[in-house]
Amino acid sequence: MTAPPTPGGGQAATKPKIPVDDLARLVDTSPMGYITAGPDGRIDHVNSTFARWVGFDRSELVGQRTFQQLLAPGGRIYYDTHVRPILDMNEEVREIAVELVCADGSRLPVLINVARRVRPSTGEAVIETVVFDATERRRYEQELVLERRLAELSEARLQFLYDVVAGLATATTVDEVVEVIRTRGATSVTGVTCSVWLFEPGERAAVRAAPVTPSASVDRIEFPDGGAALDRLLDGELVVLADCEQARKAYPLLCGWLLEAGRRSAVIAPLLDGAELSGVISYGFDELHDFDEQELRVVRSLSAQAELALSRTAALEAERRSRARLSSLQRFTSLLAGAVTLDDVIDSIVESATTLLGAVGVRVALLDETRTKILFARGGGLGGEETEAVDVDESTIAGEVIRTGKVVVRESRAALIESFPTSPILDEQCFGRVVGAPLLDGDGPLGAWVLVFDEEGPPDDDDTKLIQLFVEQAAQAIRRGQQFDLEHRVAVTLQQSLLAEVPDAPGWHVDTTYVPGSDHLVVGGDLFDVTAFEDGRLVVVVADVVGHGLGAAAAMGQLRSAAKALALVLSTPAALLRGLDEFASSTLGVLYSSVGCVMLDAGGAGRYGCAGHPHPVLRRADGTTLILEDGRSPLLGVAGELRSDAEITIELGDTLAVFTDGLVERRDGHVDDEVDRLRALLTSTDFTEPDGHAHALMTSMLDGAEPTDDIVVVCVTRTGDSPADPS
Amino acid sequence: MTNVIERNNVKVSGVASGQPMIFAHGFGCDQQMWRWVVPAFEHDHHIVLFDHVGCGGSDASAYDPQSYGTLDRYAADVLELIHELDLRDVVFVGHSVSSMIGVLASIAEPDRFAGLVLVGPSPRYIDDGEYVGGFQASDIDELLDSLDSNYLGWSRAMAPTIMGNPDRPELGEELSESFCRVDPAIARQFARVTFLGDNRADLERVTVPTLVVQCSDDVIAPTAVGTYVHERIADSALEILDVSGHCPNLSAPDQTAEAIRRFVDRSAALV
Repeated sequence: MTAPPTPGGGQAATKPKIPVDDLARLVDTSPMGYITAGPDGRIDHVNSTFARWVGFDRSELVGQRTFQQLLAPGGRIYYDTHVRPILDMNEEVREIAVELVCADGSRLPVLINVARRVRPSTGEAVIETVVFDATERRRYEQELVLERRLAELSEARLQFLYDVVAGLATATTVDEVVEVIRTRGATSVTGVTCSVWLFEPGERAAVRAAPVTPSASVDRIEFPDGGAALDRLLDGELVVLADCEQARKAYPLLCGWLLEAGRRSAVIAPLLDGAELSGVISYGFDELHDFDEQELRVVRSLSAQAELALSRTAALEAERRSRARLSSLQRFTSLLAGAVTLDDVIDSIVESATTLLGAVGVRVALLDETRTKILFARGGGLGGEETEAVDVDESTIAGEVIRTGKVVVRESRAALIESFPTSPILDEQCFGRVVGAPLLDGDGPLGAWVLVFDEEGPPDDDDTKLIQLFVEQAAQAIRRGQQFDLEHRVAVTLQQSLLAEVPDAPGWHVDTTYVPGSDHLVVGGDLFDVTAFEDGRLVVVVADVVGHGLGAAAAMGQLRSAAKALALVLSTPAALLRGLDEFASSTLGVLYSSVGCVMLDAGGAGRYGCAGHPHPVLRRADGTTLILEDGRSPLLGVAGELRSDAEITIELGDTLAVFTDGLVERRDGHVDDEVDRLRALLTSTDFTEPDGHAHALMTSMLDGAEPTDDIVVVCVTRTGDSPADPS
Repeated sequence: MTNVIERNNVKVSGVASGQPMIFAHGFGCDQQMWRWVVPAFEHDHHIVLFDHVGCGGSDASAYDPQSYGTLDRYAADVLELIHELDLRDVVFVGHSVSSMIGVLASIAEPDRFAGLVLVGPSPRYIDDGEYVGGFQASDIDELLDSLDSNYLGWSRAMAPTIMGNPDRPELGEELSESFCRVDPAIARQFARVTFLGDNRADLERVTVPTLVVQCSDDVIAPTAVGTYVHERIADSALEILDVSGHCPNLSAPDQTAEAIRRFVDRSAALV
């Protein structure tokens, strides 16, 4: 029962009685290798054919080697993990393809049949191996395997390209394009890792667009000038690295990175944008990979698709960004247009930094009047609780901006600390890049606008331009706000100082009130002047100067002085108005003022005249009222010589109300209705009581509304017959 | 989500109240490779056999080359199995690559394990500097080629061979259909995961008592590697079997079972 497998078609196999010698010779020279081995695998017999094939002397094999030791390493693993386990459970394993390593190092592809038998004579297990030369068959098989693989691949690759094209068609951002390439690319071939690397503008380094795994060891690759890889890529060629170890000479840096990342084969495909390299796609394999032409065609085709998609989405993104920038600039401009005071302007700037520029922190830094200190505000205006003051020479990013008049950028918090360790902006919690931009007007720096962003690194060119446009708008608005605040402050101060005094008038009770308009733009126009003589005579002038602000306040002051001077020497309102006409012709800002003038003697008789002024209202002691509609003439400067006045008599207990148009002109009401309301109020007011009537009238007329214009009210009540006889 | 019991073709036998023993097969085969070792433990242990996903009678549709791209996923399957069967004080017996799967599982949840038996373990097959794993990277490429070359021979020649086994009636037809049969694409990926991995750093993190079973003449996991594993695992013993090859569970099942028995009894004595 030790008969070995019979060689196919053995010529002597006719009858059972064949001499053992013949059999042995047949086996020895048959066209198959024949080996027997002990259970430990050690060879105890080989035939001549096998010895000849492997080029070893029989004595070098028998007792010296195991069959597995003659196998190439891959086959050795295969033998121990597949053949022997099966052999242990079965008697036979057939037609296993392995390679023998011959004495001269060459490889011989063979097929083996292995059987486990028991030698009847000894009862020992014996492993019989029959070896067929499979050179031809292997070649044929390899072709079959290759063709099958190609067929599978062709189908898979077509589907893959179709998927990629479909995916790219719906991508609208660069990130989406990258994601499609990366995820689909990784499924194109088993064992491949696909990454997309995008070049930073103007730099010869590409940054991984999306990490394959969070722990990916390399996320930035550099292509130094003149690198062989870069040249090929710029020519639109693939860099194919079938074996990174071997390609190290040609591409030392590139292969270094790939090997470090555990890749043994790789292909790098360019992403061109015109003549510029905008990025690369890398495919890495962690085992050696043979690239076939069809595969490389797929890689090229994927790159071409990616280039198209990237340039399309880049254009889309650029358009989206520039539209967004334009619209944010428009919103900023309109926000500033609604800001009148400096505080309003600062609040608008602070708000816009986050809502429109995407900053996470902001300071508006302004030079104070002495130009030695910088006031920092982060909302709520200057001077609020959130304001910090720092010497202009101190090391702050705002100071640097103000001193140089240039944009100053620090790309990270660390960089900012290094340059400006005490900068107030460091109070902001976490941040990346800081940009300080100068707020300039024609005369030089007003201050700086400091913006903190959460990402690090240099700013985008377009973002810098946008910041500059914002800064120009902001500087103009700040200048305007400062101007306005100054004028407003002066105007209010001036007006109130001028209106402070009301003289004691014997026989008369004079009650006045003044309220500035709530609208910042119209302060500073109304005035009154009361002149009381010792003989009981009384002159009341009420006027409304055209315009507003500092100019109007100054004109008002001059008009008041002129009226006072004229009241002292002239005896009729018409004459006083003619005098003011002359004054108006020579004084800027007084022209077109309206003036109401009343001159009364101690007995209550007198005259009144109105130059374009609201008619005074007389309240009789019995409560009846009368509108004084005579003595009318045009505004100052337009009446020529034609000034008129009319007679008036005020009895004991009568009250005359002289006022400016702010009292009776409402945006939502008719003047006549308001005058009727005033008359009713006058009727119901008890003027025998002490002070406060003028103010009460004004308050009642406003009826809770804010005064949109200046309002002056003067109430003159006759309380005595005459002053003490001068004699 | 398929149930782990079906997905991994889990088979339970022995004494339900006994200490659980999980037997995990290595690369190239399935749970049948334990068939001559398991009987030695069935009378006093709760035996759990299973196939890794993609091997033997497992649900190959649950195989995903991405998630099974590292041994972690295989270890997660083992832990899922342990939770599903609510096993405690487990003795995990892993052959070949399953040694490292057991190592990873025991590191993740040491409380569930009473001991590890690592049969023919290798934390890394490819040489690396001073470390001798026994192979070059190019050898592994050749192995993958061998797998490819044998697709054809495999499907055509193996089936009739296995079916006709007159001397071993215990190998029924069902077994011969499935034994060591595996989808070629899965075999390829499993080979990559097995032979390209590096779990050397994990060894020092093993805290459970461990037995390393080493064959004296194993070209896949040489004795030097087995010794390396033993030296890196603090509470470990090394048993060298005078056996050639990489599968003592098949070629020397009695010796293998005896070695495991000594370890299990000693562990039990310690408990």
